[in-house]
Amino acid sequence: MKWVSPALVLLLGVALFLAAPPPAPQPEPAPGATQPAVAVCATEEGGGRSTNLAVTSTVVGDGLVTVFSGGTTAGSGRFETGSSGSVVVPMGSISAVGEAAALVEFPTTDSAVASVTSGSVSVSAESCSRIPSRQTVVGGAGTLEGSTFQVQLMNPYASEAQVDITAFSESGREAAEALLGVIIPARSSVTVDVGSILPGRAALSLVIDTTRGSVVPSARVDIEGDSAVWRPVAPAESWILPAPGFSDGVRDLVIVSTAADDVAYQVDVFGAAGVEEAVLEGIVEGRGEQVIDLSSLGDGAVAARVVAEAPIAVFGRYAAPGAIGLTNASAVSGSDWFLPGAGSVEGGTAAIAVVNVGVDDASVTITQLRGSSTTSVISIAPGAVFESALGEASDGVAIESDGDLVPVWFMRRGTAIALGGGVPASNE
Amino acid sequence: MTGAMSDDSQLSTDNSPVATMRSPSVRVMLTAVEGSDLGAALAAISRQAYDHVVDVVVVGEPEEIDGEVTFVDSLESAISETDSSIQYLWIIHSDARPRPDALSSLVGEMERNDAGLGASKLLKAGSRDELESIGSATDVFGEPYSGLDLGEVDLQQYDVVREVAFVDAVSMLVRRDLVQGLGGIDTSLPTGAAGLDFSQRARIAGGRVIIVPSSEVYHQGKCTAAGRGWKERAGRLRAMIISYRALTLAWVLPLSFLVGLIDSVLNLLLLRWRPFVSFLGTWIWNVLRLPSTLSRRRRANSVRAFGDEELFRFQTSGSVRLRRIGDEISARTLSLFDDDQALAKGARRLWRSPGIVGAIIASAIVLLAIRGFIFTGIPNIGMSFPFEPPSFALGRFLGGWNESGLGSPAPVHPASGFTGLTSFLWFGAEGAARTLLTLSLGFVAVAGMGRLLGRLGFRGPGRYLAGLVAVAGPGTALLTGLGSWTALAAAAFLPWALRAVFVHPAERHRSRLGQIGWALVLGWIVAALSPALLVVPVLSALIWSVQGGTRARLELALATSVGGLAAVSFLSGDIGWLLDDSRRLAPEIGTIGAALVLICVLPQFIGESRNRRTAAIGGLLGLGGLLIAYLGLGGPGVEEAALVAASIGGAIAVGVSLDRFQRKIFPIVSGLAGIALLVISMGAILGGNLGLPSGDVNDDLSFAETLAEDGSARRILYLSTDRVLVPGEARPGPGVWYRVLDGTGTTLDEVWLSPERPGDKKLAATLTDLAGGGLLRPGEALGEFSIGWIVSNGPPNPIDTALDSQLDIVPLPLESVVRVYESDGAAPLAVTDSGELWVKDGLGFSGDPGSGRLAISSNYTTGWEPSGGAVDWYTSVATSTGRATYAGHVVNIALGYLAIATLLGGFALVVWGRRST
Repeated sequence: MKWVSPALVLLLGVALFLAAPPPAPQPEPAPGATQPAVAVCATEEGGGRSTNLAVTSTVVGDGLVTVFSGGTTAGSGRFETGSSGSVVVPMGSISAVGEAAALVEFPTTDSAVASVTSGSVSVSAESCSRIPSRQTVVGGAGTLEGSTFQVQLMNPYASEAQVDITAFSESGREAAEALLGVIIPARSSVTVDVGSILPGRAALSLVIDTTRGSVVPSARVDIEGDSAVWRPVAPAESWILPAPGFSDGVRDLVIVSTAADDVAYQVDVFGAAGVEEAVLEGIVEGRGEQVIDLSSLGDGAVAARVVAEAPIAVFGRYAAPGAIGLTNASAVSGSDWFLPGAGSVEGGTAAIAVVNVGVDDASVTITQLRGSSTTSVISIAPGAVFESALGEASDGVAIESDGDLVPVWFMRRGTAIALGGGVPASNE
Repeated sequence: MTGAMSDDSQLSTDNSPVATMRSPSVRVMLTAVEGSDLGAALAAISRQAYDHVVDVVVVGEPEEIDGEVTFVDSLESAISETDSSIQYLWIIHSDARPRPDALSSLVGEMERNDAGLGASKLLKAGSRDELESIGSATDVFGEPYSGLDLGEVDLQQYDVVREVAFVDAVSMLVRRDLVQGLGGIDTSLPTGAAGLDFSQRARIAGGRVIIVPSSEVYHQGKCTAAGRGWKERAGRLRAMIISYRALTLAWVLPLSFLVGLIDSVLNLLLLRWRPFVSFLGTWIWNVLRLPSTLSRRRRANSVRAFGDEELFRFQTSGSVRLRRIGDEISARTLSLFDDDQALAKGARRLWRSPGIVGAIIASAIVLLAIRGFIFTGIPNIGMSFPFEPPSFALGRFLGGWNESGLGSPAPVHPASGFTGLTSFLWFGAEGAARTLLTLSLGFVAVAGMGRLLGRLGFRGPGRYLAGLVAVAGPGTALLTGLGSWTALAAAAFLPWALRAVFVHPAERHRSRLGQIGWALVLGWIVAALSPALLVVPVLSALIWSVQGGTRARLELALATSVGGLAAVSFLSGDIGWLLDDSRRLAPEIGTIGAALVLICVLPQFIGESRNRRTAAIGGLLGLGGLLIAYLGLGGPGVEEAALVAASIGGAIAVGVSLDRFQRKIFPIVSGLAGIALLVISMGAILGGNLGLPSGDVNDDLSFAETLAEDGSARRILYLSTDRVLVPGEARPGPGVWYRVLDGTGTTLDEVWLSPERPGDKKLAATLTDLAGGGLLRPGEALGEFSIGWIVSNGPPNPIDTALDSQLDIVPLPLESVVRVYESDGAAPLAVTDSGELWVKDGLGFSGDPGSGRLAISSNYTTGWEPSGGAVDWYTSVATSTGRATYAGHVVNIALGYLAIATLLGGFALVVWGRRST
């Protein structure tokens, strides 16, 4: 009995040194980011230009558009998607406050909206952003004489935000203090005129870092009367851009790298002959921009897939005298897409281009959304690019398929042109 | 006796009656002291009635002297050059005036006692035979203790030849072979230190050190003037380093440093700065002189014949310095109202009791450890929050509404009952009661551990010092570091509850009823503070009894368990507090504490039975508690009890290991581990708040009340990725820990959250939506929970990120380490359907009577009146009476009253028992 206690004590001591403690209680894992049923759009009223918000959705329901400016709500209005699940909301009916921003609340998360701005000789369109990113990149524009390049930083939220913009041009990294520490008050948008800060650059790419709060950026360029609006995007290693045929001017693929070192890339081309891999291989210089003539890859509608060894951003740029159109390539592919705003500009002609990046034939249902929607069903071979003109005016286009697609839409009115990207209809 | 300095004189003695037994030859070495009369000194030596002085040499600078005298420049050379025919060396200072028979007495007693070193009795020259030195004992740190009173006159009261620890170097006779073997006297040291050094070296080399009172020398004291102060102390430290073995030095040196530091600090309190300078000088000098010290140490070890035990034989226990300063402080204090010094004399005796010295040192440390409470108040942070007014606290304890989180009918933690009663007894002033109670906890623990170990038969200083380990040991410190006030209080009271289980043989005549009463009362208090701790008294009694001990009383242990009725109501409503391991706090448990407890207790098992049994309790509680907490067995209640028990076990181990100093390897190892555990524990509490973190969350969050536009402070959603940063218990949320706090300030009853009810589940779902970015208007979603504020602490979290992208919660530019967001849309805590606000009134709400309904943002349960009902998850009552009240469940009420009755019953038994005794 005498030795029981010391033995027990020794045993406890040994157990303490040998036993492994269980993991300490932890909080629940943070949920994945939920796609909010909202989007933020750049809008413009006045100066002969007016913005329409083209909403497309999978449901019939109502939503809310709130125009915010100067820290407050400049106006708001409800809308209802009709039987087609789509509606075009003229911003002039809600609030005419010049350059502003609008928060669009959808009836469901499976919705999309595009901001389509048109004037007498200009037209621009782009789908609106859903989720703010901490870092976005924009490229494809310059500040040579005759062109303006602006970035609109939109903060519809309750917290003040701050961004640092880093600019790169053909001269390398630009030292522009005015682009650092830009404050965007809550419920406000701030337009940064890059052209006045860094004039005379042929090719400018910007990296927008949100250091506090949340900001949705939008880029705009004006050249010879026409304008283009497009979305800065978060860098990724793979991009796909369908390119409708364009014989009146040049169509370029713009690759922007923000990495300090050179980045190797490869361009696969989709077209009538299917997919041709590694048609082009090259290197984007560190913090540089590489422009590829899309027409050199094929006549008519083609599509390019750019795969790089480091995150890059890819944009499509169409230009002709008195015309400019820009859009971002898509980092994802999917079966169901919205093309909000496609065919919504009166007096213009519009077309869509869809690439099947899958390995099987895709049966594709294309629906032009309007009061009485029209639907057509087509089949797209793997690696093929389908281009189709849109007939009558519509609020947008919905695409459903059993394949793996990426769409884009294109329109022209007079000399003006516009390019618009697609929005995946679901997260599947 | 000038002729004695020549060979002729030696020859002349051949005719004496003892010529056939020739006296031992002596060489006199007169050390010249500055300011002394060398001629007079030589004359005094010449008068010596001793017949075999070979010669006299003067150590010092040559000077004009009558007669023929040899001068040598150093004592070392004089010693080393002495011929081997010489048997003794009489080393004497020139400021000493020996009586004529001084040398013969020295030689005679040295021969008779076979000593290696003998010294004369020193009397102060020019006084009426005032004693200066009769040889000294020392403490283990070399501090001399002569036992002489100031100005004590020589009445031959000490005239016995005896062995002593050391003798002064003023007049000493030393065997020539011994002094040559030891390398002479260290002339770099002052007289006292040199004497100590030489005496110790002589003793470990096998020489006996004696004082010869019949050899009287008058000492003018000119040599000691230069040797006072830091250098004397430095010399003693050097003497220790030279003489002690390495094992002894391993514990003597740290303790010596600690003693010197405490002495210096206490002297600073008495407005004396020199001891501190002396302390610094002592250590710096020794560090600088370390090479020469080590060289001398090697030489001493080369002739070593005995171990340190031979030195310990002549040493007093404890620290002479601490005793001296303690005497002075108590005398000064008591002199304020002790004209006849009766108390002061008693206090001096007190300082000679090791237990009391331990208690006083421990109390002084506690006083240092609570300075933060005195200067900045009791912290409101972690799990330490203000008491509620006694009527509220007792109301909740007796089945009232539990306001933690979103409200619950589950009974509050029983600490509310304890704090409510304490505040009630303190005339209803809950703030003062909290302050006094918290200030006293350290002293309660020190006294409790001392009394507990005293009852188990320990009398040393360790039993009170162990109280520091109880409140700051390897377990409690982890909990107090998280701000757990209840753990601190439980650690302070548990030793008393343990003590109540044991009966000292001398107390067996006491009333059994009284003992049961105390066990019940103390068990009740411990159960109220940390319910699961009640197993500790029972367990301890069992361990003691199983090992054959007779002091433990199982019936008393069971009586402490009856005190557990204080917690039955709480545990019945939230058994997850004991069982749900996902709710534990999981502090990081190091293994150093466990190792020290193990090293402390294992050597005790080979000691006497008392030590074995107590060490078994200490070891099993200490290591068992740590192991349970380490393995995460059980919920936060078990974890808290296990960690507190671990500290109490550690404290018991320390108390046993530091009870008595024994010069054996195992007790020394045990003692060293005890000291290490004690020092580590002291480190945990010397921050000033007895281990509790500092800060005031209520003050930090006071904006909620200040900025409430309608006067009704909304709730605060507090969140962080770091659980420790959330006040009170926190729930796991999406990537964060969170909880809801009362906007008017958190109180102790709200620390623990009740089991989840519908409102809590809905809030959790809302937060998940918010963190995923799915809520565009989170303020609106949180408004129904009356959450008007979100406070985010620590690193950025998913909720922070989500709040960057929403529309109705705005960040506030408050100058604070936390991030604060305001929501305008939060509903008031209680509002009528016509929009009128009702205010808190006691445990309910009141407002203008009406015909509508009142929405109360609290989880619904039956018992809300009048006409209570649920709307979704929250409560709705009629406004007809102008009051909304909650009537608790009858079982909870009954259990609350039963708990109070148990406590009162315990007190009644105590009173009854005293009467019968």
